[in-house]
Order: sequence, then C-alpha cells, then structure tokens
Amino acid sequence: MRLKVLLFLCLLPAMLFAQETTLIKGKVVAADGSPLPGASVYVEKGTIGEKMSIEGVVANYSLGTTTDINGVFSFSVPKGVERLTCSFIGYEAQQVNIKNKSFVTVTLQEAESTLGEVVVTGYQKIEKRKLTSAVSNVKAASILQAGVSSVDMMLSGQVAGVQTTAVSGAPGAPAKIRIRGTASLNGTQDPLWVLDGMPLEGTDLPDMSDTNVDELFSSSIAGINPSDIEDITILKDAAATAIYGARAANGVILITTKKGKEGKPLVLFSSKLSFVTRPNMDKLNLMNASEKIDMELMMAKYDDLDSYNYVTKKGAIGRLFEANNLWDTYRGGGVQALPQEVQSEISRLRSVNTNWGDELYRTAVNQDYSVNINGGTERSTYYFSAGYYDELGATVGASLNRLNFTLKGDYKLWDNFKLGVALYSSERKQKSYLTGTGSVTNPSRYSRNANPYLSIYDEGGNYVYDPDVPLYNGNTINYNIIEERNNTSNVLKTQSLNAVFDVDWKILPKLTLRSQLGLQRDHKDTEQYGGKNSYFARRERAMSEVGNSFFIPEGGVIKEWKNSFSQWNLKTVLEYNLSLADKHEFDFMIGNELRRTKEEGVFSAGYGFNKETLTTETIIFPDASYASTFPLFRKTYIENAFASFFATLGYTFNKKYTFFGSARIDGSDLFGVDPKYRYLPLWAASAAWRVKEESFLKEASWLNDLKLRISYGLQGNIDKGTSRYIIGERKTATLLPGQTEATIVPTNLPNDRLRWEKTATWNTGFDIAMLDNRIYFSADFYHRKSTDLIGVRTVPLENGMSTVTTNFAALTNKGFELNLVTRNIQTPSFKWNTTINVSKNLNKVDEIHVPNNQVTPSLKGYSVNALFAFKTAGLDEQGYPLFQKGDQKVTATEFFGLEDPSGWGMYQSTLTNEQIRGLYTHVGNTDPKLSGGLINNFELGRFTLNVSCAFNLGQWVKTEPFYDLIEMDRGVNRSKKMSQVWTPDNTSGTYPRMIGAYTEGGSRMGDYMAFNTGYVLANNVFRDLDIWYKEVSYLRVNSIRLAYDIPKSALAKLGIASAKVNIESRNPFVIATNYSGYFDPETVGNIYAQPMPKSITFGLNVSF
Amino acid sequence: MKITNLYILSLLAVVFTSCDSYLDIKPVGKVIPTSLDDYRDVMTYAYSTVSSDRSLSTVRGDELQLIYDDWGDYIPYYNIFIWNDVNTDQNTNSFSWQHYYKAILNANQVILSAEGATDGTQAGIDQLRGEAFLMRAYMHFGLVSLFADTYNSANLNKKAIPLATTIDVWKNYERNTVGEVYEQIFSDLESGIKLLNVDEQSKGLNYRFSKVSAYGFAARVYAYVGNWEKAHEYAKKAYDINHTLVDMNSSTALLPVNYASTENVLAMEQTFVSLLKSRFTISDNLLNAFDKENDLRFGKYFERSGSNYKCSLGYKIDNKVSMRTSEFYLLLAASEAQVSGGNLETAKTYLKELLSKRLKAAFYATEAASIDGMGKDAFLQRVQEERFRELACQGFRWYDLKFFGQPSITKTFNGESFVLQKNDARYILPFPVEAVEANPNLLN
Repeated sequence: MRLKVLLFLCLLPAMLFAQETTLIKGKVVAADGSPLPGASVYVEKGTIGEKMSIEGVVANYSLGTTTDINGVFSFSVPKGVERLTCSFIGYEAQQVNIKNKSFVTVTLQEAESTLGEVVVTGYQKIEKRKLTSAVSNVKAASILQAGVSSVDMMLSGQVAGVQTTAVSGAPGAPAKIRIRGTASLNGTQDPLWVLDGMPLEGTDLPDMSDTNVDELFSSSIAGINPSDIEDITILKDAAATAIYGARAANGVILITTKKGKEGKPLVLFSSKLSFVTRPNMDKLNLMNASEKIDMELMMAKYDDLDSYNYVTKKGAIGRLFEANNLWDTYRGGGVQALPQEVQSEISRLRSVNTNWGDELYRTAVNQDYSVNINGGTERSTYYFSAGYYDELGATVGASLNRLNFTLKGDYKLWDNFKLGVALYSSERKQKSYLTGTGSVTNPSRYSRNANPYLSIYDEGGNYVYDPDVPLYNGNTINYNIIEERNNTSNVLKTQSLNAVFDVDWKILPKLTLRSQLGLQRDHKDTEQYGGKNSYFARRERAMSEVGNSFFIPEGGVIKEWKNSFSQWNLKTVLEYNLSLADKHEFDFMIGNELRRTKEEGVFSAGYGFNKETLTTETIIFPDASYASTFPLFRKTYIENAFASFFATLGYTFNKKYTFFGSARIDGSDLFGVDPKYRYLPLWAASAAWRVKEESFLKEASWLNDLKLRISYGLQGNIDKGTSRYIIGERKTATLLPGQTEATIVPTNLPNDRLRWEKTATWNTGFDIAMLDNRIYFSADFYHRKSTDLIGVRTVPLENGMSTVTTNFAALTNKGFELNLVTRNIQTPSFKWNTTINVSKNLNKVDEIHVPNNQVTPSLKGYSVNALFAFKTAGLDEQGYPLFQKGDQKVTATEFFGLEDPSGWGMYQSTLTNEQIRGLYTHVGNTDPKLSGGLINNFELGRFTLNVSCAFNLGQWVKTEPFYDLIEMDRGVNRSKKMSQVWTPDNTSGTYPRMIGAYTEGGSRMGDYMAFNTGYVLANNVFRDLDIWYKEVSYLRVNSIRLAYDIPKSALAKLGIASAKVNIESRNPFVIATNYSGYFDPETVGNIYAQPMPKSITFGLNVSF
Repeated sequence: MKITNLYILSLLAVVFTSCDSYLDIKPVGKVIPTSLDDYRDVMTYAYSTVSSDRSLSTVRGDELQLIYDDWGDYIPYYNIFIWNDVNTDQNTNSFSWQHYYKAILNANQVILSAEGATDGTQAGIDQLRGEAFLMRAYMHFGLVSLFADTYNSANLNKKAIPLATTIDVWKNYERNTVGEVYEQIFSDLESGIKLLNVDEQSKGLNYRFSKVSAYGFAARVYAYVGNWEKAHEYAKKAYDINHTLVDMNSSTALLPVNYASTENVLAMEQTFVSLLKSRFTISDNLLNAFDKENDLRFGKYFERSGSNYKCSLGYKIDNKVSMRTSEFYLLLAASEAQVSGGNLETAKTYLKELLSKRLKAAFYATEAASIDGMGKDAFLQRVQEERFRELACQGFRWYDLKFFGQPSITKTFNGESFVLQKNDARYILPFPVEAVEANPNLLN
C-alpha cells in the first residue's frame, strides 16, 4: 500500500502532464470586496479521480493552490474539470463553475452561523467545535448603525439574553445592559467589557433614573469607534465567565478590534450624514392655553381646594384673583362677574399659545467620518484609523463629538515570537443643558410643565420670567428657559488613551507563552457654568440667605470636576496543547493576572465668577456649617490592587466529547478583611457532545451539525466594606469653640461571620444546523442561584450603629434563550436571511431581610423588579377613590385604618407597618416577559436591505401621575386627561377628585390624611394607586438600511476599488401599547429623559 | 532571543513578588486604629456624638412654659411637655437612643483595644481608657435614668435597658435589670477612676473626663441612688481638686456655664439648645423660686422677653456644660448632713460658701443667718431648693425630680391643665419607636 502511494506521488506530475490541462485564473474576495489572501482553491478529489480513472488511490489527494496577497490565484486544471471549490477560514466554502471560463471572481460569505472556527475568550482561543459554554458572537459589520456613537446601543435586539435599554435619547447617553437578569441586589449589575483582552474600568453605569439623567456620564467604551470593531463576543454562563473572576458575575462582553491584513495598503473611507427630526410634542398630550385657563378657572371655583400652601396662588388665574382679591367675586358670579380688564386679560392669555416644544427641540444634522488604512507583509501588519463623529441632539444645547485615532501593529520578530502593539486614543466632548438641584429646569420636564399662556419675550423684547417655577424660601427666582440656555453651559470632556501590548512566544511547538500588558488612562473634566443672568446662579445665591443678606456674591457660578483614572493590567498565560493517537486532545492553560487601579478626583467651585476676567470672589461663610453646603474644594483618591491565578483544562475525546474545567483565585486589597477571605476561589466545569459525529448521524445529509452542551460554575464576591475590625474614617469635629479636632468615625460594625456571596449557574443548550446550513438553531436554558448575597441590614441600635453589612439575601434567575438563523431564499440574484432571537428571564428573590420600619412589601417570592400597588375599586359617589379589600370596596380611611382619637384631626393609623405592607398587591415586574430581536437581510443584485428590530413584551412600568390629588400645583401645565378627573361638575370623570382637608365639609378628612404623605402614612398613597401602573409592550424598528454596491466598472477610472452608498433610517417607528403621554416606550414613567432620536442617514463607503 | 529572555525574567520577578504585600494598599482616609493618637481620635468622636437629651428632658420638667402659636411650632414639644407618650404626633421630638450606644460603641473600642496601643505612654493609655470607662458609665446612666425605674431595693429586679459592654453584632440584646445596670455603672466608675491621671482638663479640652469630673460624676450618681457615704467621699475628692467659684457680684465675670469659666469642669453636653430658647419661656414656678432683686443668678440666667423671661444659658457651643464646681458644694452640703459622722455645721458652711458668691451681700447676710438657724430636715430641704436655682436650665431638673421624690406637677397649655401625679408611671419614658423597631426584644 505504501509503495503504491509512493509510486503514485512520483508519477503524479507526469500523469498530470499527460492529461490535457487548461489554465484558470481568478480572484477570491470577501463580501465587502476586499481580497482574501491565503484562501484555498482546489478541485475536489472525486472530480480528479473520475477524470484520471485511477481507482482507490486518488481519493486521498486533491489538486489546488492558495491565493496570493491580492487574493489572486492561477493554476492548471485537467481539461473537463467544471467546478472549483474555494474555502477560507471564517468563510463558507463555495463552488464555482469554470466551464468555458479563464477568469473567475469568487465572493466568499462570512461563516456566521456554522460551527467551525475559533472563539476568542480573552484568555485563550477555543475552537468552536470544542466550545462547551453559552457564548454568542456578532460581527460588528452586521450591527453597525448610523447615528449611534457607541457600541453598547448597537447590541439592542441582537443577542439572545442580552437586554439593552436606552436610558435617554441624549447624545452619548449610555445604554443599560443586562445579561441574563439581575444577580445582585446591591452591587453593580453591569457586564464586564473587555477590549482586545484588556478588561476595561469605568463601564459601570451610575443610577440614571429620574433627575440623574441630567448628569453627563461617559463610559469608557464610548471612546471606541464602532467602525474599528471586528466582532463582539458575549460570554453568558459561568463556564465561560469564571475565568474572568468575580467581576464577571454579570457576564462579559469582549470587543475584538480590526487588525491589519497582509497585502498592499488598503484604504477604506466612510462618511455618514444624518438628519435628526424634531420630536413630536403631540405625544405628550398637553393642554393648550385655553384649556389650561379653563382648568385653573375650574379649580378656582372650589374653595375646599384652597390651602395655606402657596399652590392656590400659582398659575395666571390664581395670581390675577389674589392680586385683585377676586376669589369671592368669581365664586359668586363666575367669569361674567369679573372686572372687564381681568376678563380681557384672561382672553389675552388664552390666545398666547407658546409652543415650548419648538423652543426646546430642533432638527439637526450629524456627521460621522472614518478612514482606515491597513496592510502589511508576512512579517508585519499594520492598521491605522481615524474617526470623527459629531452629533447634535434633538434637544437644544445637547451634543456630542468624538475624535478617534487607533494604531495597531503586529510583528513577527522571529518565527516563534510575535509582538502586537495597539494604541487607542479618543477625545470626546459632551454638551448638555444645565439643571440645578431637583431639575426643575430640565427641558424635557419644563416642556411639559411650562404654561402655554406664558410668553418668552415681552413687547420690548425682554425675557419674561416664569412666575410658576418652584419657589425657594417663598421667593420666586427669575427663570426664563431661553435666557437660561444662553447663559449656562454644561460640558464633559473626556480624553482616553488605551494601550495593549501582546507577546506570543511559541517556546515549543505545543507550548506557548502569551503575555499581555494593558494600560488604560481616562481623564474626565466636567465644567458647569451659570452666568450672572441665569436661574442657576440666582438660585445658588438665594440658597445662601442668612437673615436678609446673602453670603454668596452676585455673579456667575462655576463648578468643575476633574477625574483621572488609570489602570494597568498584566496577564501571562502558558498554554500547552497535546493530542494523542488522534483521539485524545488536551488543552491546558495556566496563568496569572495582576491589576492595579488608581482614581483621583478634584472638585472645585467658584462664585461671583466673571467669564471675561476668569476671576471669582471670596466667600465669607457665616459659620462652618454653611461651608459644607457650598463646598469649594474636594479631593478624592482611591487605589486598588488585584492579583489572580487561574488554570483551565480542556479534553476532547475522539472529536466527539469535550470536557472543560476552569478555576481561578482572585485576590484583592481588602482593607481590614480577614486574610482567609482575601483570595476568592471560583471554578466551573462543562461538557459538550457533538452528536453529529456519532456514527448514527454521520451520514445524515440533512443535518450539518448537532451539539449538546452542559455547564456548571460557581462565582463569588466579597464586600470590601466589611471587616472583622472596626474601620474608621478620619474626620474632624469642633467640640468647643476655636478648636477643630481630629476624629475617627467608625464606618462599619465588625462582622466575623461574613461569608462569600455565591452564584451557582447551570446552563444547558444545543446547537443545530440543518439543510445545508440553511437553518441554524440554538437554545440555552439556565438556572442561576445566588445565595448569601451581601447587603446592608438593620441591627438593634444597641450595637451603636443601625446597620451591618452581612449575608442576607438569596435570589434565583432562570430562563431560556433561543436563536434562529434561516436562509429563506438563496438564489444568485436574490437572497433573504432572517435572524430571530428570543429570551425570557424569571427572577425571584428567595430570601430577604425586611426591616421593621419598612412600609413597602417584602420582595420575597417576587422579582427584584416587582411592582406593588394599592388596588383601587373605582370612585364613590363623592369622587373619592375606593380600595379593594378582600371582596369589599372601602374608603381610604377604612383601608388604612385611620382614626382620629382626639377629634382634632390628629389622625393615627391603627395598622402596624407589617399590616400596611400587606395592603399592597403585586402588579407585575419591570422585567419584560419576553424580549428579543428580529433581523431581516435582503440582497437583490447590488442592493441590500437590512431591517433590524428589537422587542420587549409585557413589561410593567409605574408612570408619573398627571395630576395631584391634594394641593395640586396649578402653576404647571397638565395633560389633556385632566378632563377625566372627577369634579362635582363632572361626575362622570374616572380619575379621583382633587381634595382638600375640608372637602365635603371636612367629613372626609381621614381620606385626605391618607393621601397626605408623611403625615400619618409614610407611603405615597396616590402614586402607589394601581391606576398608574401600565403594562408596556413594544417592537422598535431600530434601523432600516438600504445599500447599493456601485459597479466596479464605473469606479475603475477613479482608482476606486469598491464603493457603496446607503441610506438608513434610525428609529423610524415603534409599535407599542400603553405609552401615551411619553415620547418613547423605553422611557415611560421618566419625565426627565430626552426623546429617542429619529434620523435619516446618507452614507458612503469607499475603498482604494 | 536575548530580549525575550529578559522579558521572561522580569515577568517571573513580578509574579513571585509576594502577593500579600502587593495587595496591601491602605485606603486614603480609612484607618484601623492602632496608635494611642488613633484611639484618642476615636474617643474624640465619642465625645462629639453625645446627645443633648438633658436639654430635651428640661421640657418634661417644671422649669419651662411652652409657647402656644398658630403655626404649630409648639408641636414638636407639645407631647413631651404634657407627658403624653401614646399616639404622639409624628413631628414630636424624640429622645435619643442610638447616640448613647454610639458613644458606648466607641468607648468600648477604646476599653477593649487601646491597652495595646502603639506610640503611647502607659499614662496616656490609662487616661484614655479611664475616660472611656467614664463615658460608658455616663451613657448607661443617661439611659437608665430616662428609660427605667430608679435604683432602690424594690426595683433591683425590674427590667431596665440593655447593657452594651462588648462589640458583637450577633449579640441578642435584651434588657438587663435595674440592679445589673447600676452594678455595671458603679464598676465602670471605679475602673475609670483608677485609670484617670489628669486632675483637670485645660479649657478647650474640658469636654474630656478628668479626675475632678469623674469624682463629680460619681458623687452625682451615688447621690441619686441614695448612697450618701460614697457621694460624700467623691464630692469631697472633686472639691479638693477644684472648688473655685465665680463671684457673681463682679459684673465682668464670665457666665459660669461658659466652657472657659473656672467653674466649668466638664463642658461635654449642650444642656439647653437654642430651639428651647425660642419655643419656651421660664415657668412661673422657676421665676418665683428666685428673689429677683437680690439673687444675682436671676439676672445672669434669664433675660426679659416681652412680659416673660427667657433663658440666657446654653444655646451656643461656648455654653456646653455638664458639670460645674458649684454642684460639688451642693452635693457636699447634702451628703455631709446625711452621712454618719457628718457635721451639719460643716454642711451649712458649704452651702453658705456657694451663696456668698451668688447673692447680694446684704441679702446673703440674712440668708446665711436663716440657714444657721435650720435643723437637718429644713437644711436638706433648702439644699434641694438651692439645686433648683443654681442648676436651673442646665439639664438637672427632670433627674432631680425623678430621683428625689417624684412629686406631682401641674402644667397648663393653651387653657388646658395637665397633671403628673406623684410617682406617676410617666416618670419613666417609653423606648423610642426606632429602638423598638430595630430590636423587638425591648418590648419584653
């Protein structure tokens, strides 16, 4: 046999020469037209055998070549061979017909959904066939969206189990990402981001609910230009994340950036121009001037709604009546009875109708340019890119621009030694409006609240100040939003520089040492400025009133926060691969990681600031206590160190069964913590079975692949603030006059029984590919149980502190993720692919501590994100809300057990806190019941059309009531729904009536007291009524993109290799239930959030 | 290959550097106390957290009259003023609970750990631990005197307040008996007194305990529990260290409650806070106790406000006062008259000595003569009256009422009359709501 082969090989060239051959030339390119060097082009073995009529032997040999650096090949094939096969790693193999051709161009499609290739985990590369854990991968090219500045937002609807929600439509606003639900009650819930192997710091989102939305925040991933990204890998189960240690408990998102490819320099240029439309204010359903005047007149009728509070006197009508003492006149005779000049003033107000939306929102043009050059030789490759992004928000004054430079080089210094260097730098500038404490001047909120009868300028062109902005100490502070926009600024500048150095040394053929040093440096600078003529500055000054004088000088206010963050991360791994007898494959890795982070912050403030001279004035504080209300300087410094050791072992038997295990020990600088808790052990084990490789399926031609996976892993965490010692903070105190003395304030109670916080995750899933890979389906089921969660719980005050950090809660997340990719139509001229992903996560709190003074229900047995409400049962004949108690309908007084023992209106509740907790009914959860994405791609000739959508179904939200039951502020505009509020003149109204203490002659004072938050009940009863809870479901079309690939013939003269034009519509529409009164279903309930931008983009991609 | 070798070598060097030292980072501003200076700072924090409950207790006594107003500014004090402890308005001021235990926690830390403090002399360590024992005694005494029965044989086994003498978050805190609490207080007093070695703190640091204030406090506690022997012994020791009095005949004399006054030996608490000044006038009961013309204290202690008088003591940081030398005179006068082997004439001397600095000379002469003519009971009665005047509005009255007889008190507010009966159960305050919520054991 051996002899025969030898003989054959020797004779082969002769035999081929003996045959008649023809020369075939061609070029292999990727879908984007770039050449693919090193692709295999060959004649399949069967074909040659047939032609050569040598039986048995030839089956082991095939004829072929590989492409050069330009993707070009040429070789001779025996005459009569009609088909060639082209293949390249990462792409799908393709057959081409060469009959009667001497030149062919082969376009290979990227293999997205097949189970070959490798997966980058950040620590090692694992062949996909050996993968045992839940990992998703998306190509950046397929998720790129025009007008989206950072990659986080692009993940929306793309990956099963990854829920991406916009917190606001502001330019550069980060997206909230949750991978498989919430695993922690107090800690961060954000995933870990890894850039080319370096874990990034500064990606945890601050609380962005309500008014915090006004704070400018820049995540460190926002500095990465999306067009530099090659692909994104998401690690979801413990088997995949355990290697990342404690930080990875919420999942890991790995970003791999583009690299230079061998070949002559290739230049890619892309430009995008977007037009952002103005949001539609009609969605807010606000009253016009006349309707608002009618509402105020209606309220003025009822003297029971008068209160000592200033609210009665607010609003144009209240002011008119108060100034002219007309309350009784009006109540006696209506509008007719009012003096003529007051009547005409009322009619004038009705005609003003300022459109605040037009003043606060705009249409805008955005630009996005990027260029990259790459190329190289066998020894070295390079990649250089530059990008400029400029976005103007639909809200006046909100913008973002970013400048990026990326430089990467890979060098093969010796045959077994490679070096990689990468530098990523970016500079960002985010601008926003400036709002002070309480955000009364937030434009989203103000556009709802500003009265339509209020003018912006008077006849003389002077600013008209809004007399209805909330008062401070009973004084109005001059506020005009246009003046405010012109005299204030709020800017965040971020500079970041990341560097990654990689070393890859193949010590022995099977033994590799890899090491990576990552450096991250971010510098953030926020400057808030309010000029002399701004509400912001006026308010600061008003707050400094002592007696009748102000210690804050008149003039501008400037506040600046400078934060710098740096980290270095050094990891080294040793990898050993071994395969025995072609049946046993071992992959062994051991490594360590050292990390150190430093964060430094400086805050400074200046008052009486003059923008021209850049000078401030000195403040003389009346006494030390005021100095803390107006801090002028603050410095913070935090340093942390981490050291970790890890190892993994993979074993594959017969290419069918793979077992994988990993272990990691995380050590960190836990100050004052028992040394035995300093190093945290984590581990995971998993297995996969490639069923397709079994003999009974091997021959099944309909099935391309089938794999089953199972994994289990244990992750952990320990609280840094807990110690067996009392840790103190250094502070100062003044005990007697003239002496400031050092003190040590204890910050924790020592806890010697603190245990690790543990999360155990089971994951099981399968991947199946069928019908020539035309259907690919994968499913994952998981169960994640977190126990001994660390949190703060109350302790007896006899301890000297009221709380202790301890293990006190447990929760479970379970769910499934489905991913289906189908090639519906696959003809040369028309292609249609669909990707659908669906996921569901159920979250349940198994154990939690309820302090005795808590008045909201325990979450035990419910989701962390459960919502509870007081169940109402319509209105009684006096318009008061009724509550459902068992099968009875009762009043608020009865429901909350209110009594007035003294008879003086000093109401008490007879219920205990525990009973009050029991009055709530579970409504639903803020987690969607089902979420996912739907992506369709169409290709017709040179046209491609992509439509991508994301959906969230059955998600509950608590909305902001559109009015107040007691002491409603008449000075702000309201929803048109006010017409549905019950009044004695509108008894068909369905919303509860507005009430005062003496409504119905004081006979219903108990009900009034129930709604008077903080008086008898700590609960905000009105806001907790079930009528404000809505179930929102929506499907948002994120993007529709149509692209046209310009024929090469038209470009050749210009020296352009390829060019593509495209038009994209971002956020064109959303199909949703229950979001009336809000701009978007994502931000229902938050009146501060800016609307999601809608835009049309024209783009051009050119390569040279 | 040289470069790679070098790289590997440097790498290994990093890896094998001791990880523990690599991980030893001391966070800025955070500290686990080790040195004597650190423990002093812990103790300073304890001093800074002491509550002003003695000020609030004044509202419950008979020295003040609550002002009625339409705005409801009286509401936070109303229920305390009329001794109503059930179904009180939410805005009612509450007596502290946590502040006492917070000070105790820090004192415990010093008591339990400061023995091993670095960088300190033994004398320095002893003085600090002595202060911590005194602090613990002072706090437990503050709690037990407000929230529990007084010390006498009938009450010894009654439930009082939980003692906190260890730092243990898992401890099940339950109420100790009156007897147990006082035993702990006596023992802490003795332990502290043994350790203290500073006779008297300099002005500005006199918020700290010293021998003089420790003796004084011990004398006060023993007087309240009726142990006149001990009260006498300690009052005398305190007196021997400092018995200077401010002569009120001098118009330039500092207010005796001022921390810098020679009389002020413990300036730890705010015993009359500024809000009391604006919400209350001086009660007729207290006004009538003074000879407005001849008692110099009247003009120093009170100021006119319309047709009424308001208190001039306290209300600012300068006037923190927990103990004055004049209290030693009063304690000595009472105890000298009561201890076996005591001399009534000596007792009278102490009282007269005090009064000579408080009354106009002519008036003093007549008063001294009347004292000279008193029998023991009349004299003791006079000492009580003098306590009422001398220690007015300095956080003593409620405790004096409670420990010395629990008399009946009548008050009026907005035309309504309120009565606290003799030995009324309301001489014991209920535990604050937040304390019970955090530890339901307090209900047992």
